[in-house]
Amino acid sequence: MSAVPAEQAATSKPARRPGFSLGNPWSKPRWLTGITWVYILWSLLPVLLAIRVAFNEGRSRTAIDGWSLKWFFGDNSFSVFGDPALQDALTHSLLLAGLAMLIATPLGIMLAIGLQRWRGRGSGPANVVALLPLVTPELVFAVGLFLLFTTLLSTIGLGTTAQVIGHVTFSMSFVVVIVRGRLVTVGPDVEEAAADLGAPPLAVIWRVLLPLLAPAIAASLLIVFALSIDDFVVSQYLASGAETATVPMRIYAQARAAPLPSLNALATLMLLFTLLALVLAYGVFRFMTRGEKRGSAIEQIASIDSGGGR
Amino acid sequence: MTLPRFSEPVSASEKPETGGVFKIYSYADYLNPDVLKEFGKREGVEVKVTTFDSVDEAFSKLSTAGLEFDVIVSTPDQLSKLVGRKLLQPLNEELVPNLEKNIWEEIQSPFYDVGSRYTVPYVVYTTGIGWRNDKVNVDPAGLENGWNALWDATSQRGKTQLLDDKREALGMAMLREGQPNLNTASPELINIALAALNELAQNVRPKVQISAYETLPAGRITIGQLWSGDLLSGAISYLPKGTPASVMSYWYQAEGGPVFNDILTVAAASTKPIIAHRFLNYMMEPQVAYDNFVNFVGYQPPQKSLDAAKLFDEGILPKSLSNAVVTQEAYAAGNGFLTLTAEGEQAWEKAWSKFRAG
Amino acid sequence: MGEGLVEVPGGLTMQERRIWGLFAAPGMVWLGLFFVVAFYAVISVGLGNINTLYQPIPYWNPLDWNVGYLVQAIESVVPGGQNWAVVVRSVIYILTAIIGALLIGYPVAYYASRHAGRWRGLVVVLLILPFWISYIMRMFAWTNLLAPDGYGSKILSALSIDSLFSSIGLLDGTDWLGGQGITVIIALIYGYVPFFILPLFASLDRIDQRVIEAARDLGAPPPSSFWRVILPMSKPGIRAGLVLVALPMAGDYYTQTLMSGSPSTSMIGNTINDYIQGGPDKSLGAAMTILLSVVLLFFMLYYLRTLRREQGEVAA
Repeated sequence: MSAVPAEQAATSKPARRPGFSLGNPWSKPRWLTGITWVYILWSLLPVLLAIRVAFNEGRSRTAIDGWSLKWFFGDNSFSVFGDPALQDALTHSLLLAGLAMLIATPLGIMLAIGLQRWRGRGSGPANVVALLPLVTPELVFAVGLFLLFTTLLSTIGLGTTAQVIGHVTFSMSFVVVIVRGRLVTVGPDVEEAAADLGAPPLAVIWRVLLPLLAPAIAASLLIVFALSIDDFVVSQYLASGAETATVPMRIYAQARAAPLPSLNALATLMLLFTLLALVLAYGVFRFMTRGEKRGSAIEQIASIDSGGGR
Repeated sequence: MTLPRFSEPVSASEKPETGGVFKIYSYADYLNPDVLKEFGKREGVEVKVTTFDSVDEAFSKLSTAGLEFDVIVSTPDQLSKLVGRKLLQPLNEELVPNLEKNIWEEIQSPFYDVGSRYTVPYVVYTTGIGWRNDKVNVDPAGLENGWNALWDATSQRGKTQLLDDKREALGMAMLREGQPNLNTASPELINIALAALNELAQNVRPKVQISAYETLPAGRITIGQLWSGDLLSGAISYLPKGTPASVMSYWYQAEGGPVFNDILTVAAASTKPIIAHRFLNYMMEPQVAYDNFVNFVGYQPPQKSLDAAKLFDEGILPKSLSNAVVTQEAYAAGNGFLTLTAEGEQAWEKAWSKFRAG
Repeated sequence: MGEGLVEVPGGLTMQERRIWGLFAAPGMVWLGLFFVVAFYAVISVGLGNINTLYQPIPYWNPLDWNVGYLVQAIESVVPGGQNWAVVVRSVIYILTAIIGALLIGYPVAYYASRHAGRWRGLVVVLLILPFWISYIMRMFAWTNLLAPDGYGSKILSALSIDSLFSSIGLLDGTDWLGGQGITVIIALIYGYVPFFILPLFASLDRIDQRVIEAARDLGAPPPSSFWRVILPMSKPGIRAGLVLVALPMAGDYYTQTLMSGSPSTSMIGNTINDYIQGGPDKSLGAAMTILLSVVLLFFMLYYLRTLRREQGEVAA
């Protein structure tokens, strides 16, 4: 989880000296190259294979077995769009992600701006509380929310509302990290200038700060979406019934038995949505920060490190 | 036992509710989706099934998490807890006429719910050992104590299953130790069973789950503790192409082994009590019960009209698994899991969590 | 993070500073209710009681607290207690997995930050990718590969890796999914190593090239400049990265269930999950959660402190 500050990669990239000659002991060791590429293959091939199996013609999910789209669209009751349970899971995942995105982002932006400026009693603990969800093991977090919604807040109870609240709570901290990183980049100069010219604080925020934060806001929206759609533990603990099952919950429930390639197809669709959100986030960020000093947007997103199981 | 009624049953003269989602809480793959779809069409509701892995989990979620359903599938040993916690509503017998009409007489007013105040029976089953006779060569029937077949299956380490159900798992260990009282509260007897389970975990390393109806036909499990219906369900729906049903075998302890039935109940929180009653009644219609059994679930309904032997003779079900149905005589002679005393419940639970912690 | 990051814009009065506090209010109230109070609910249940139907009754008032379940939980995790074996196993699994993550992750992060050259952009993208693929999906991919007829099992068997592992006692038989501790450990490494690589990458990337050049100019051969300059400078990054991956492992239950499912490989997360979701012992589960949190809180604060220090450096 968390959180290497967004700027560090960009601000101090070392100057590289070109032209190391062959045989120079300072040139890059081959074995490092080897390890890295083997690692990359190891980390991605299994997933690629799982995606390939989704397009199988046959029923095998351990071997490549022809080409077809029937596990996505087949009219039998075993395809993603033929099995209401799988389809519901996809819809519900998208619903949760959409709601979490719309609630967590504004809350997180305000929190980030507030924490950045607020000095005084209580600001120290507030800073810790805002970041603790990033490092709290998800199980602890989920047990807490589960017990909260089954005792004190049993009027809300388990279900979609509880799930949205859970997703908002853990993803808000990511928004805080992203937005604060941007606040550091932007610096106080522009705002100060505006304030010196007599603009009232709220106008400064609305007219000056928000436009400057726009790239971070766009990135936050889509990253919250991706975090929420991938989440498993919180969704599972706060689920109330079949209508609140998400895609990761379906995968978890069926992977232990002997599922069909339609489960791979479902996972593939989920991955597609996540990656779409990220590519959009990257594109928007690049577009909005064009002309600024070239910190790599990729590395900015890279530095928003997320927690296991999410 | 006769269970207390905490409220009046719903009146038979009320009109059935209309529209909306009709919610069932059940084991996974334990109701035929086509049968459910047909019911939904008949009553104009959308039927949704939420699944649980064990009845303990189900009770725990129902009672603390306030989940709301219309119909709950459960087991008789959970019944007094469910009633005590006021999670069920009493049945109106006028709304479930099929109970008397179609169901085996001995379960019409069963000992666990005299007068069928809260339950109707769903399906009957035995608990035994299922295995792939093409992958492992065992013969529980030839052993003095058949359960040893599982304890001896060390060559199948990791490809075995133990039911994720504290009563079934510890109960099997008791039978293996020659202790026939499956409802004991004695800490010594429970500890002996726990030791036997630990020995099993050590030597045979079973997965603790209930999905062998899929994993046994797929060959991921080669031998395990199974419910009888799992074999038929596996044969009906989950065999890979080219694998005949005859590769699966089943054994159960004919005398003193677990034989019982699951139950259908109407939840106290149901917003559609009339439709819920109708669902119970629907599942006891001979044709529906037959479709549910033969085309999907593999667990047999206690229907008077159902002649299981004929199904095997006609090849509708694989003959090699004919011992996976329950005869009326076997049911009557069966050994079942009943509600434990409070201390008993605690002792079983403690042993089970100790076992699960490895 | 916090103090000293950015100067408060000049000329703000105390009143104006309080306005910023108001800005943070909605988010703080949200976190207060759904994070702080939620954890308080764990304490209240863990230090509460149960009724005759095994339902937990939380005690919200600290004066009422009942330590019975906490004592039971503590007794269960000391030597001889019923969860002692799980605790030992979890510690072994987590330690082995983070060492594995270090051995794999360090060279990769090092290469990506200093030697990837024109491939750098691509390498970084490929290192980020696993991060954003659902953890459950990545585990699911392995359950297919390691099935007896899966490609993974076949390759491992063709390379005789399974028999090698068997001969040194790491694998029992040839079924990787048959309740093998080694599979769970490898899966944990696979699952969490991306979360280790990226922060480490960022921290290695920050080491000023001039420092290394200075070492070279002073005549240090590459190995010694690595051991005496780069490694010491990346130590905080390593420590933070290891803490970062160890924390979620301590609450992991799904990896074990998907890759093994056998009680002989249960981790502490499974125990808590069983108590809370599976059975009637919610109070005991809550007490175990309290214990786990107390142990982990130290590491969590350590990580947040590192984070804050690093950001302080950046701002300066």
